[in-house]
Amino acid sequence: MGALARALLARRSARTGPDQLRVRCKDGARTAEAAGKTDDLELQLEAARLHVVDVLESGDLAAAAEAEQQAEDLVGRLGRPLYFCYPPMWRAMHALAVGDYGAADPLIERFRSDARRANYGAVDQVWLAQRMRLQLDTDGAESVLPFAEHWAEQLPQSWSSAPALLHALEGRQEESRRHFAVSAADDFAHVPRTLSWAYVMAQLAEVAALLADADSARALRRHLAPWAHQAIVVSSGALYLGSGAHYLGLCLRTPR
Amino acid sequence: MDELTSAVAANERAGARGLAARSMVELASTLRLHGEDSAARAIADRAACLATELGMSCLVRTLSSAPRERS
Repeated sequence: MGALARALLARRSARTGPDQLRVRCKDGARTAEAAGKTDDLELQLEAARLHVVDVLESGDLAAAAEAEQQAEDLVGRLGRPLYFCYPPMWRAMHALAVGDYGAADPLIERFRSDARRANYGAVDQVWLAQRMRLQLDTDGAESVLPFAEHWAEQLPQSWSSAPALLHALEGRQEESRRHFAVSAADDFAHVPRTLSWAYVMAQLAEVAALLADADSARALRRHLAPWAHQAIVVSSGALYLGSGAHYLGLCLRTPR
Repeated sequence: MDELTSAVAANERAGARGLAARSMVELASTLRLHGEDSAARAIADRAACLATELGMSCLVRTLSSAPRERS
């Protein structure tokens, strides 16, 4: 059964696109079942973690909460500090998704402290993505602008979309355009094809709409079209951006 | 407009209430662009209720600054 679970996980890594979501969801349940019949808890956690992402992408937050609970149980049973940051990260993501902002705030900080303790590589970037979402939904995101600018300087292709959005929301169009241009070059070809690609493109769609940049909106619409019928999720479930149709709708509305 | 209508429905179905409120705001704005002021007002009112309930201050401010919603 361990071999089957590993084979299914390997196959999943080649099926990451939105057009393969249905297959991933189906395989994910099989993978979790096969892994569950072994005594390899790390294998079980890997299967559970990826299943969380797939279920989130299918836009079923209730099913995702169940999958998260199973994954959290495995984190507890494994007892390895490396994985302790996943539960607060998922809970913060969930709280942000359902609009429970009071709960999200301490969970975001808890994630950061657990992840730093475990030397989790992307801790500050995940923290920024969650914190920025919280601030955008509540009091405004000026407080996270210095962090967004910092990461845009460090990893321009991955993070320029963040200050582009924050400046655009405040009406600072020139600064926004400067950051936006970094990502928009060559038909957005340099936006890294990581698990955060759709997140970056969704942010860029928001910026294109705010800047009334019709050409970019048209290009982004083409890139984001495959996400029309599923949700956009960051990384291993760090953030749930909701229906991809929202971002397509923004692109379509931008004047031609 | 179809995409934003779908987004509202999908986000509501998922229980993603804050995201649903955001999609409603964008849908209302699109409806206004199409001259459908009455439908826009109805959606914006729903968004405002949700945003207020959830404490989405930024969204509430955006809604209260949209002049045609108050007419």
